[in-house]
Amino acid sequence: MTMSETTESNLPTVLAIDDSELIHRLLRARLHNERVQLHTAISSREGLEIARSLKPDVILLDLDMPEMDGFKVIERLKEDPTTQDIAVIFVSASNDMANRVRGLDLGAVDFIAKPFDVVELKARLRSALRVQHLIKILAQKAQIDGASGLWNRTYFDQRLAAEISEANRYNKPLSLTIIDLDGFKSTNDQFGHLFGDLVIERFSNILNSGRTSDVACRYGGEEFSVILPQTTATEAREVAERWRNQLANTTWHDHSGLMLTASFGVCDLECLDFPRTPAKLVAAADQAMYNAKKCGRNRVDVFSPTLIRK
Amino acid sequence: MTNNQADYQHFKLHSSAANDLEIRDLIELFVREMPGRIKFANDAFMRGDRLRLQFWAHQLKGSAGGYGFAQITIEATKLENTIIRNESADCVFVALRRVLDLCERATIE
Repeated sequence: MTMSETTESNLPTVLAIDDSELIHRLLRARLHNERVQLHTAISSREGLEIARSLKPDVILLDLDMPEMDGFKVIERLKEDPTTQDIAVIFVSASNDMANRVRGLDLGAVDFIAKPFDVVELKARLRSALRVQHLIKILAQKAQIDGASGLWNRTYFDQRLAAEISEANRYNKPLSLTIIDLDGFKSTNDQFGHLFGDLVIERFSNILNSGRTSDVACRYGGEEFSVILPQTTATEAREVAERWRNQLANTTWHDHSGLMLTASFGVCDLECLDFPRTPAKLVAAADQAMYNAKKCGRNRVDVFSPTLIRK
Repeated sequence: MTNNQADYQHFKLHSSAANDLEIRDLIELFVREMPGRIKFANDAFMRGDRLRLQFWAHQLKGSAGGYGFAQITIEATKLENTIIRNESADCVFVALRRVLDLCERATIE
């Protein structure tokens, strides 16, 4: 694999899969001044490996390659959930209309003829990158809760499953905190829904101001959840205590003297029986949170198996 | 300019992208590597290795135009098609000679 001189990590990534080094050289020269990071693969097999690990925004895919042609490569890319959303542009010396149609039907977004016209190549690449960027924004928006700006429940479910799988595989600690705002319904009834929205927003900011590795989500209504990768229950408890204190000490300008609080339930994977599943972790953190409610609210409780018996 | 010089100028095959600064160095390299490319094709033909020759023609077809040698792309396409159609060795030889003739004349000067 070769990388262009451009190494800015925030630039869109383009992977060229082509069995000709002559084409690699041309692409490097032609795209040198474009705002992209160009990677190259000299075979289909290498291209698929790089695509899986790099997850580029766009793949420039040669159609005619020995071993595995471009059609087979795009089929593999589209079968794999980790690569199926990558935009593929076929680059081929073949002018056969049937090939173009087949390529587009298999999921390619465009087709560029070799030898390529440099202006056309750049324009088509920019166009594909623009569309990819918009698709990413839309996909992200679909996973964000509008009122809080936190990740939504759908994202939480997917991310928790992925984090648990990773923690199980590499034997890493993982904690989950479930939070419920205390007396939120009566706050809403007393001060109105606009104030309720403000509470949600402020508390979300508190959850989001923590470690960048933490994944704060709105679980639903006045319930929140935070996934804490590589964190034991003891460490997660300390983090939750900071959040609890921040909320309890928040000043509400139009309602001086008002103290709003939340109850926190913490659980880590270590507390669970095998198999350790997302449902079990959520249920255990929930159980700890309800215990915090029962024991007077505005507190952090860590799950222990004895809670179940209570 | 003498008659010989004029003939020689006519004989050379210039890249249409020779003034394109973005790829001028690459064209030089493309031309410098031409003897190796020609040897590869001759060897493949002498051994009767049509697959290697087809691969060679295909790669040249896809790239030569990008370096400003559109004529090489055209002749390489014909050579590739001759092999794909499984035509006689004589036909392949003629098509190959046409490509090689252009390759030998390619220059950056």
